[in-house]
Amino acid sequence: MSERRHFVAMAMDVDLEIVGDVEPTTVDALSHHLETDLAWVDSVFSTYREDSWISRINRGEASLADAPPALAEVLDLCESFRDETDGLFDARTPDGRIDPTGIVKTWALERSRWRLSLLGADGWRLACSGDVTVAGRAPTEAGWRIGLADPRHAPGPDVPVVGVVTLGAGGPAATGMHALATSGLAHRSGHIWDPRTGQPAAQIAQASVIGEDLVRCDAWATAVVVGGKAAARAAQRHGVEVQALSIVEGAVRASRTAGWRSTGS
Amino acid sequence: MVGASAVMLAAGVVAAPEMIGALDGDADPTATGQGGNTDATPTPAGTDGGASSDATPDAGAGAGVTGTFDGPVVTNIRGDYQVSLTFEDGVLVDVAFPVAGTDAPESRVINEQSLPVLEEEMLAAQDWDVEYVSGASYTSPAMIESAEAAFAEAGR
Repeated sequence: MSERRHFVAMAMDVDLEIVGDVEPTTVDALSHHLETDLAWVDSVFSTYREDSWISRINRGEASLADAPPALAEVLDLCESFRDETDGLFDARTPDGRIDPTGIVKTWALERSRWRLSLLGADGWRLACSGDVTVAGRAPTEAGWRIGLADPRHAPGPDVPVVGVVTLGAGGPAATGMHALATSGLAHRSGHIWDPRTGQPAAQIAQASVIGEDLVRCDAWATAVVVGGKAAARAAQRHGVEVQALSIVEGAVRASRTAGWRSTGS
Repeated sequence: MVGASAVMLAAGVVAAPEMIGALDGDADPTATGQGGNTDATPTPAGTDGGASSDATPDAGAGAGVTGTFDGPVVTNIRGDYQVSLTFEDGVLVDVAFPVAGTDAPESRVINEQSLPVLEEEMLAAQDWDVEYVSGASYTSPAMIESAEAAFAEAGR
C-alpha cells in the first residue's frame, strides 16, 4: 500500500510517497499543506523573485529584523556549514549579496518532517531533484532504494542509473542513514575555475552524501563538488558518507568514503 | 581543502616539534616529476613557524614540482612520526602520515584527520529497480556563484 503525489515547488518537482494504511484524501491534504509551505519558503527565499524577502534585503530595502525569523535561522545555518566545510560551502556571493539558495530546499524538506510524522503512516519518502529523506518502512522488503544518476547524461526523469544506495533500516543493503543529497556540475563543468591550479574545476562531476540531517548532506555535497576528494575525506569527520563521481575518459569513476554502502557494477 | 591539509600538517608539527627541522630541507623526493623540476625543494607550512595556508610552493612560470616527498621518521615522546607530502604541479594535494605516532590522544586526532583514504571503483549504467533517482537536477546560477566564492576563499 503506497500512495504517491507530485507537485512543483521552487521551480522543481517534489515527489512524495506514503507507505501504510492512510486514506488517499489524507495524503491529498498533506500534499497540499507541503505545497503551501514550500510556496511560502519560495516567497521568502527566492533570489529569482524581486519581491522576496531575500531580494529586498539584498537591495537594502529591508532588514533581517523585519523579515520572518526563518530567514535568520537559515542564514545561521549557512554560517555554521561555511565553518564546518572550511569555506567550501558559502552563501555569500562575490558581489556581497546573500544567497542561501544552496540549502534552502533541503532546509524546507527537513522542516516538513513534522507534518509527515503526524500522518500515522508506516513510512514515507520526500524527494526533490537530488535530495531525498525517508522514514520508516519502504514499499518493498528491499528498503528505500535510491538510484544515483549517471553524471554523463543530462538530468531528467529518464537518466540512467550507475548505482543504488538503500536509505533507512530495511533491506539487505540498508545504510541506516535517512537522508541523501546529490549535487553536480556535470553539464556546467568548465565554468568554475580552481585558483590553485588555474584549471577548470572538473574533478568531481557529481557528489552524493548520505547522513541523518538532509541539510548537512546538502552542504557537504556542494562542498565536495567544489573541494574534491580532500573535501570528501573531511566530510567523514562530520558524520556523513560520500560518493564522488568523476568522468575519466568517458567512464564513471566513484570515489567513496569507507562508510559509504551502495550497489554498483 | 589544501588549507585544511596544511592545518593538519601544522597540527602534526605542534605534536612533534622536531619535524619542523625534518621538513625543512631533508625532504627526500621519491617520485619522478612529470614536468621536471623534481629538484625543487618544497617548503610546506610550518617551516616559518606555523603558517597555515601557504603550503603551495612558488610554482614559478607554472612548472611546479610534482611528486611525493617522504620526510624521515622522527621520534618524540609521543611516538614515531613520518610525513609524506604529495605535490601536483607545485600544489600540495595530499598529506599522509605513513608512520603516525602512538595511541596518545594527540596522535589519534592526527590519524583520524589524515589517514582515511577513498575507495575507488569504476561504475557502469545498469537497469536497477529503484524507488527514486537522485541526481543533479540542474545547476542554478546561484550555486555557481556560491561555488566560485567558495573557491576564492578556499584558495586564499
